[in-house]
Amino acid sequence: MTILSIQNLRTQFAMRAADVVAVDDVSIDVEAGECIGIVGESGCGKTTTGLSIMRLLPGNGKVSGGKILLDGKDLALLSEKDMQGVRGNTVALIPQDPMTSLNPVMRIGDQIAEGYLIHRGASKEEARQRALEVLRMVEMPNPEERLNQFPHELSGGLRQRVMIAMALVCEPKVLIADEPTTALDVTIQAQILDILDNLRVELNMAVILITHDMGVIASRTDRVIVMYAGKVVEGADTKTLFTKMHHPYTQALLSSVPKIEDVAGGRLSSIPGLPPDLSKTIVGCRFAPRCAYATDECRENEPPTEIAGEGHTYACFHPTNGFTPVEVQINEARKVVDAVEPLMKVTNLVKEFPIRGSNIFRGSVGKVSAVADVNFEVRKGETFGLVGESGCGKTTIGRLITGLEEVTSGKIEFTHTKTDGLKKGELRRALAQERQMMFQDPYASLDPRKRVGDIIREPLEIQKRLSKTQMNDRVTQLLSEVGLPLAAAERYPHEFSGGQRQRVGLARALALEPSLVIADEPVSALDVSIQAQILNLMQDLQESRGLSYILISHDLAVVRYIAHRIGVMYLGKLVEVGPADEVFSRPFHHYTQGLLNAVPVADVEIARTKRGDQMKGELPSAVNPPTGCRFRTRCPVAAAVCANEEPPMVELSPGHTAACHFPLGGTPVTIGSQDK
Amino acid sequence: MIGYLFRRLMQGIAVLFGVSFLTFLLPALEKGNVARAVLGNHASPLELKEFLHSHGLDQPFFVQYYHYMIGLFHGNLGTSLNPQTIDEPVSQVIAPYVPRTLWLVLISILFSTVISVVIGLFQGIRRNTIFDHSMTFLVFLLYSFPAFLFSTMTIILFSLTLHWFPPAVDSPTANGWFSPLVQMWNHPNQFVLPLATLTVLGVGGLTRFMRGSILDTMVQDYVRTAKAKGCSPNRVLFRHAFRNAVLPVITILGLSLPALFGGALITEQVFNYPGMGQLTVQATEARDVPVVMGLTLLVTVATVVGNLLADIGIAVADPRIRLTGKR
Repeated sequence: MTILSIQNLRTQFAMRAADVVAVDDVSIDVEAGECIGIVGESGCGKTTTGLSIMRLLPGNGKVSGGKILLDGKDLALLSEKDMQGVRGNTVALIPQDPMTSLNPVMRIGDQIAEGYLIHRGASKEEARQRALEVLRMVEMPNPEERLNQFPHELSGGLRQRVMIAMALVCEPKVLIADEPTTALDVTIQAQILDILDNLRVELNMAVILITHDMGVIASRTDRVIVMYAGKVVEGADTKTLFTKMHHPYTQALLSSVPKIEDVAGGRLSSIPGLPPDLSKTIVGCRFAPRCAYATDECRENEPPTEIAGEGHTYACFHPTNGFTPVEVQINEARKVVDAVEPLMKVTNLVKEFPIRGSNIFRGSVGKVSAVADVNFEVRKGETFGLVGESGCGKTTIGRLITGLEEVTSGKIEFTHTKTDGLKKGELRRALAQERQMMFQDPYASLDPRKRVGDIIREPLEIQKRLSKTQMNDRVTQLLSEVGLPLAAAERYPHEFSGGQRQRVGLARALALEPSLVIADEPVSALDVSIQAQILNLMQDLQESRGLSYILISHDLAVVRYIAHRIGVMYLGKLVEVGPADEVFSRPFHHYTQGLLNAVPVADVEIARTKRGDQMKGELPSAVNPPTGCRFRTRCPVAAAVCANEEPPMVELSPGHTAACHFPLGGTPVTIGSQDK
Repeated sequence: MIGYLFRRLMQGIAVLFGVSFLTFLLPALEKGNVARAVLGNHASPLELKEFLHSHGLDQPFFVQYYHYMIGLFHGNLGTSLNPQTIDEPVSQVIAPYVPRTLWLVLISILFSTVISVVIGLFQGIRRNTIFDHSMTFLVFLLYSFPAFLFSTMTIILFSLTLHWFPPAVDSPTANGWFSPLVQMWNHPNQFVLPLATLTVLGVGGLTRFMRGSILDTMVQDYVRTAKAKGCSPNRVLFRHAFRNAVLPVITILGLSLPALFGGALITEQVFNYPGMGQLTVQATEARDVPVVMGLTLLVTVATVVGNLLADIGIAVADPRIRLTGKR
């Protein structure tokens, strides 16, 4: 039964220069109890589609055409007051960021109960009971206590459970989940998506899952709509879309996703260019400028929507049929890694942050053990990947190596730079030439008032070793190396896209020709197609310059794709280190296994077989970490010895070490199997 | 939360120490001028020397400061140098003036807060309407008027031309803590113009601030969450946005106190109201240094207390502070 039918929806935003049509002629039918995914890059109109249904567009946006039929009634014709009766009652929304989507000054219980009070006319006590009931439905630990807590007392994962509970309180027929797990760790993501799945079946809800993550789409949806520049370019059931896609954009999107199950580090195919500017009139197919198959026909006429089969539609003149076998280019950089010359060594690294008490004199009442006795080395020309859930200490390690934080104890040594006897300023300048950082958020990490050229030049000016002309030459050379036009030097960061800014960030990091670049989530703020461009660029530069990287990321697929060796961190401890392929295919530590199980795979067959067995619980507090093995509280095989004795790091196969009393034995694990 | 407030209190006390030192510093370094100012240009060197000695001004700097601080702890702010109140303790000279200004300032804060929050709120939710634009214009107009001009103009318009309100306040007959309130109650029309002047002084900045705050709040994700729940516009505004928007206003209120005392200085002079402002002007004209120092210290205390009250207000209104003791 079709519960929601969107027909020829058109949504536009009034901008200063012109009206931007963000959603253009979009039609989607949603059946009761089904999960339909909307996927596409940022700016493709997927979120706007969701907000159009709820009529929650920002002030300058409006639905200017089409119908939104809910149970046969057109929502577009409802008065604002009637629409209030629909929101949160028959159609509910789970927004992207649970950290900012809860009212900070209102108790959890009141926030959840509010919808029930409004729509069901319930008494305060009834609404409170209902709030408790839905908190239990979303498997919230200690639900009674939560009712009286405020949002800041909960972790991100728990807050997202609250958001789901809030959306479910009136048992809506349609649930719009807009990137519901993007802000969460993979292990928590898996828990949240499981809850959503179970409740969808239990309540026979239709779920519209808006996401950019192909893995989430593959594992959770029944049907998929692919959007590009405000249009639906392809729609099909999930399996068909992943195997027999017809639109080149779908194909390109899927090829640019790094896949965790890939064994060899093939080069990612990226989509050249950027999506079109929607404030300008577009002639022809919107994807044509970036499409490998585009012809003059595509550039002149807009392709009509064709029907390929049962529920499979696409809009393209030159449909493909599934993946065209792409020539796998074996990644040279990855092969060079036989080089074993150590570049940097970290010994017994410890970082503790004091906690100031709320007592009168704010004395130190404890400490957060952010990094606890970590040892590893990075070799010349290799990429060392650091992975783990947020709060595991991976970013702190990056900051310690870059000198942005001071170590509590332990050593960070570079083979080629002797630091003994150097004065503070000399030390800073010497180490600046050894390691540089590439930051996570390209929007926040570049000074908006400086020209790009000046941003790249600044490290050189601090070193005072080059003449003015030499510095200018260096900037010019760096810009061309990272693939930016020379004119970029005279422009300001806001004139560039996210991907281009990250190129600037990389150029700045390379200005002093460091031997090591610490890249902290370098692509997590970028769309997949752009992400592939940056990752490929990083590899090219590694090859041409013999660079080493420490790649810090929560995205295991990205790390798998680019790293030669991987370190897995859990709650301040390094629990497993080894060659990338081995860590991913034959992990020793149960935590590594758990992480791998939680990663959504962008492949329908694999994704469907690996559901169900997920790591339970959340990361414990680093203030009082568990005794012995820190992972024991979430470990499936924990025994008494794990609580009493901290497992030492042991080499279990050549170059592959793990800290576990009961290692998995290195038996080959195909991704998705659940043998323990 | 107790710890948080205690720390704030300690910081306030540290500020008081700093200010007491600074207020002490000025006359102490200019002691010759002080003597000459009091005794006049024709005083002989011997007279000047005797004056310095009798007032302890010939002692080393830190000895003087020590005596001054000891005096402060005993509530002794020194004695007046004004011929009319010569040798009376400063605290006695100041005491009757304090409640008059205090009530004037408190009541005007109350008025300006209510007015600003209401206007700012409606400007925020009716952004870029004629109402918003005209209020912005009006508020800026009032904001840019100096107090002396505004009060003079209100007198010309409302008392001299229209004869609605008297141009001055009668001299108070009683000196109790609540007698100014009694006087206001009995002669409200005398207080309309001075209170209006002080209120207008506060409204300008606060309204702009409240407007910005509500605009910031209305685009927050949690406001969209509230709308997505099906809350009516009024419910969204008053149950979700309002409390979050008012939080920063509380801080600004605490910070605006010294400006209001400054405003009171002029307003009281114009309306001939014998409050701390008028006393400050008199004491300055009479080169009555100890009284000026005492008044300065008092305004500092008021500022510190105002900020402390703002901190308490925030701690009560914001659970993030209430429970964790820090932001």
